[in-house]
Amino acid sequence: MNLDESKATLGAPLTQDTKTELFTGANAEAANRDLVAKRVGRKGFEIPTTF
Amino acid sequence: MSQLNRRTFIKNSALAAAVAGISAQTYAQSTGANGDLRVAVVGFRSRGLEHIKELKKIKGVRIVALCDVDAKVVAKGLKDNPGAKGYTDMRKMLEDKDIDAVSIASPNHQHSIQGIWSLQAGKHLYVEKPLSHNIFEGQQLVAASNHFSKLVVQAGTQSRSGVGIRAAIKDVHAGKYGKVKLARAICYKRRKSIGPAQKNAIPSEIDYDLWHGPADVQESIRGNESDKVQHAANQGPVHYDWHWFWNYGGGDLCNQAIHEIDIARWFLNTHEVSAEVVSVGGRFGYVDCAETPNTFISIHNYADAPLITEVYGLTSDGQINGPMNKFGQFSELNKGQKSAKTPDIGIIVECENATIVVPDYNSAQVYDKEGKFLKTYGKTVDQVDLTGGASGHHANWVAGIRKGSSADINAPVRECHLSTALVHSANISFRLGAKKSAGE
Repeated sequence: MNLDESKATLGAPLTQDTKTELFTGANAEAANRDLVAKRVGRKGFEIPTTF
Repeated sequence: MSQLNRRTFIKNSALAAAVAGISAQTYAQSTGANGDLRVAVVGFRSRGLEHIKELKKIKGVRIVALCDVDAKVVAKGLKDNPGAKGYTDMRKMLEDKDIDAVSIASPNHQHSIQGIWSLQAGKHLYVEKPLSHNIFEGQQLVAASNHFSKLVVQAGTQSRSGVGIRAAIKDVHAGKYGKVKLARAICYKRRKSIGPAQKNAIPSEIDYDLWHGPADVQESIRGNESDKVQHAANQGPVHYDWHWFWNYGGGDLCNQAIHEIDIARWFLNTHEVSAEVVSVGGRFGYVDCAETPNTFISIHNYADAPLITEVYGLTSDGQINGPMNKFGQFSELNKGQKSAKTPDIGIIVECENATIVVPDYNSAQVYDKEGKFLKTYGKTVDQVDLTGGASGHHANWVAGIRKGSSADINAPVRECHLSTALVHSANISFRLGAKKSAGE
């Protein structure tokens, strides 16, 4: 058994603004990057934001 | 293959309609010559087939278009549904003014953008869970639904139409069993290893670029084994394995457990995301090329009561439906099932004066503090005709369309967004975490 592979991942504690749904606190920057910047859609498939 | 880009699509649909003085809402009020509701189904190799089956049960509903990026799937669909038009590019399909409504069962990473496109084109929308691939996308779909408010949107959390579950929740919310102390969402859906990565070519009948939609286009890899699509070799993550790669899916948390999380949050009667979340997990038992954990616990720490989600995907005997898999499952979930089936998904809600167990998509059982059975709400899943879950969820959507109102829609898009945001926040916690051994 690969002992390194058997390690569990302890997730980062996150706090979230319940109104804006944005993450706040210690891990906010990384969490919000994952939340927003990683997927607005590639060219030609951008997620519409105005209606 | 002819492909419209988004700019062209928008120009040809919502904006063009607006310029012409025809709002999307007005456009959506039209129906077929006989008053039939003309529905298109998008993504129908697997789950979408259940959509078609459900829709065909409803009087006055016609399947008029079928769309899938796999031309072979389209060809088979047209053979099984004479009279329907076939498409591989959804944007082209949405130009068809003889479509009133769209039912989407494509992969997760397409749900939000395809849902928004449908609304912009003036179509009523049924969209599978999870609502989005990330929270941002889901917010935009909710905003679009609010904007095109005369269009009726139903989310694919079909347990919301489960008669027994609805009755149990009504009583819990009324305080019949005391305050809710804890809600557990349980997903013990067994999955085998998908094997080590192997590169493969995509068959010519699959438009791989279109399949990616908003997702980054990645080289096609998949395991050399799969629990679902062993017959579909050389198709990369297309057709199921995408669930286990972050670029497209979010593991069983986004695939199955969102159903249980949605019901658990519904029991909690909270209508916002959790202010605190933390997760722990990993991919144990084998080494393969999948990225998402197969063993996972998340805690959404709502102020009134926590929502704890437990995902356990390992087989006990190497078989997905093997007899040994019943061991290790929660005995509470087995109590309610009278059939020989061993439920692997469910919800357990601890109240002050009773425990509520939801062993399927339709029913709920109540036990007292000593574990004595008290009553059942609704019929268990083995006693009713449930096509892919609670029957009548598509019918509820169609009824809303015919009434011209979303007031009685069982799974509002905002509610599905909130539950989807919970699975995303749990996964984000996991992905930002660190590997730890027992001694650390």
